[in-house]
Amino acid sequence: MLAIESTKLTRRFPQGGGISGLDLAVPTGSLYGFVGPNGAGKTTTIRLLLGLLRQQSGAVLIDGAPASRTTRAKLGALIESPSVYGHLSGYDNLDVTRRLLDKPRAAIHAVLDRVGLRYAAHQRASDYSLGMRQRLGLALTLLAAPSILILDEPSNGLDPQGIADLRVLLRSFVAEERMTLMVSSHLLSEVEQTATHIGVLYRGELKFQGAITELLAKARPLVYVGCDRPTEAAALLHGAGIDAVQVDSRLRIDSAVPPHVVNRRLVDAGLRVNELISERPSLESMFFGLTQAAEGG
Amino acid sequence: MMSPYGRALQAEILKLRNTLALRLTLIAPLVVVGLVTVQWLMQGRSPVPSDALPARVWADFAGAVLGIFVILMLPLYVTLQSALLAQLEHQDRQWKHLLALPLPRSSYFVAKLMALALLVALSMLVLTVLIPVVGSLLHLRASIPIAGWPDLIDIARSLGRVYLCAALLIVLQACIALYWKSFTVAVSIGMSATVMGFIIGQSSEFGPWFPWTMPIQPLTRHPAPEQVMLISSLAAVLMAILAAYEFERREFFD
Repeated sequence: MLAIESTKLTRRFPQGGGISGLDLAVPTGSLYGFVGPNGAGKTTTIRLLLGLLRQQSGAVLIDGAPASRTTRAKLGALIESPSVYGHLSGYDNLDVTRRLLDKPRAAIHAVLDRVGLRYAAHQRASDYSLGMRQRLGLALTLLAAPSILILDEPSNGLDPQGIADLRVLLRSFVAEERMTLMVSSHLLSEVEQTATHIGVLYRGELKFQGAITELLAKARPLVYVGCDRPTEAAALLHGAGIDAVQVDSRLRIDSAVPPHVVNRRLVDAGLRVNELISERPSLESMFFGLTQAAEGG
Repeated sequence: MMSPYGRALQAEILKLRNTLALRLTLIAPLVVVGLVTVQWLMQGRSPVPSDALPARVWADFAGAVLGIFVILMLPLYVTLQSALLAQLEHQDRQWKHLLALPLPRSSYFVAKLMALALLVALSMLVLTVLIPVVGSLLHLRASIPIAGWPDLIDIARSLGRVYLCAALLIVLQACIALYWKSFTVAVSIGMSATVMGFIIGQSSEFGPWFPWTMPIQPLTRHPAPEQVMLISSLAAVLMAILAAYEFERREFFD
């Protein structure tokens, strides 16, 4: 079951940019990381999903139904910076949205507790720190009790502690409240730590979409070897059909050969191995791999 | 259960808390009544004959206040209030939050327009109250034979007519302020049109139909102010419907 689905979603702009033929598939209950460099079309996609922009072609489905005002009731969205009335208190900001949504007053206290902002509820929002504003923005999106939450660059401007807090909060939305989260970000390490699924957007096109484990499984681990005679070791491995590149005093082996096989060959040849590291490629290196492949056509 | 339009208006009223827009409903009429009072107290020759009837004095005083309020303050007030109300949404890019909620988009436009219309009505109500309250300071000048109370019904009736004639101006300024993100654009258009109104308003041919001078018509010797009221109200409704439709289908990039 897909919470958000788009088919051939297209919106281009005369001045350039936009998205083309996007087939998004955000599974229900997933934390979908929507990644791409600045200008890739992430915010355009989100605006199309929310109906703030109109597509030139294609369609958007929310929980299987064509996107409309009715399906928007299932969505909570925080696009870029939180939209906050600085002259009102946090409580009054929530009260504005509560009135619009026709929710009971108790909903305000519930979301304030959820984001840990009750202590500052009656403080003016203009006096809030960036992290507090972000939490207020999240509280505003939670007021509608959405089953799907769309967050655009939610960690923008947050300090490391704020990012860590946000990570915990987002995970809990999925784990405890069974929400589906679509989180756009250019912070790949952040997405890697939280997302279960990922969509890689580059120049308006999806370069990969699926479970994050599926993407990482595609990558071969890198093996780094430190030994006493690296040049001799590289030649020896080449002779055995293993591609090894000397990087400073170490060798980098980019192949499916298990580290213990490399170790055995070197030790058997009388080389002294003093370092053997098997490194799983990061999402960042995978991302650059995908986008560079796209660059090269 | 309240309609989305009613809910949007409720939210709009809450947003006015602690705003300059709300304070202006008192400040703008107070400035006008205060200025006219000071002028009457300070000018060399008494503004009314010493044997004038108190009712006549109050009528002249109220006429002077209404004249300045309608010609000068009202167009500027509508300009500033519409810009301030629109900036509540433009400033921190509130539209993206509001329009992602499951309410008809036109509800936000209608609520904003209603809030502006209410603020204008409120300022006129405050003006009606301030005329006798501040005007009672005229007792300080012995040569002004003031006594009793002005005819508040007559003042309210005049302002009611002015209000209907200002309906098109209110809708126009609301559209301008909501369409353009910039505070400067909205205020510049309103101020320029107000200044143009000083010239256009003198023309008996064009003055009654220029939105920024239409509110003056009930206070002038216009042969049929009812006609201006009717045209202004109908044009305002038509324009509001068109603007709500445009708002419903507009794209939001901010």
